[in-house]
Amino acid sequence: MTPRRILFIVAHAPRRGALAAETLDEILIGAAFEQKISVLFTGDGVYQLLEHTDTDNIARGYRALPTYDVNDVYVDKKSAQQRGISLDALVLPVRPLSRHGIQTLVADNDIVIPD
Amino acid sequence: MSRAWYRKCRPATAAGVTLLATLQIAAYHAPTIEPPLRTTSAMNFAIAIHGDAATSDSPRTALRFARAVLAKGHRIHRVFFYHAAVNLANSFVVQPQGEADTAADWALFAIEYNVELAVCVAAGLRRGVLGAQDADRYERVVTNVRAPFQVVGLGQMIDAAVEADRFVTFCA
Repeated sequence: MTPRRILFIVAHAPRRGALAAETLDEILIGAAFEQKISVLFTGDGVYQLLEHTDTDNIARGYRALPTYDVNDVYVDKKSAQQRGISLDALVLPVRPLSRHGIQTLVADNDIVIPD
Repeated sequence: MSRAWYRKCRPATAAGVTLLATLQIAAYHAPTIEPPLRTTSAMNFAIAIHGDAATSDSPRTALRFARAVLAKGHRIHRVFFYHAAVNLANSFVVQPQGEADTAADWALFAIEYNVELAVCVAAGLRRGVLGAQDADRYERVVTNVRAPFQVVGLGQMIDAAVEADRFVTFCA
């Protein structure tokens, strides 16, 4: 079976209990199933890519995405700007997307899974 | 091919007349090849729910959606309960009288229409939703998963998403 294109949309801030950790699990399982995975961080979800000092560091998990062959990581450019987050401060290289770019990304995927 | 081709034929012999008559009958009864019609064929849906009934409306909204899916003649491949939605499988939850019992409604719906209700094992363990196997494994005295909910791995969610024609998520 040809792999499906799955887009995960991370829109929630970290520090909301198990939500972020479980979303990361979902993404990694998707990658383990050899599907074509993309991840978009939008809204407060952008905060998940910032280095934190806590022990349950979600950002550290996201940094490992390329080792799971997940290389299509996108950030909503406007969300990052509104929060004063520089893309250089994020834990892994991401591709900034305009709102129009996000529309195209969603349209290009077979399955969209929000958090 | 047009059905009118044989009308242009002029048979020269008696055998030709018989052959032409046979072909005419065959051509008349042959199914015509038409372009595929744009029909609304039945689809296979998979549903994911992320919200708990106590803190979110998403399980109730998802149940209304699931009923509509079946009413329109579609199928539901699997309903996957993830994040806080695993609490719907907890048989220890008791609703006050007169309030909607969304978990019970989901269970009844699943039994009536033979729909698979899958609960993520890892998310369940975090929230005290333990199937018989896990209660045994982690040495807990009771198991509390309500039938017909089934405890499965997270891979079953990706599997459902990939197998279904439409995968719809109800966030918290």
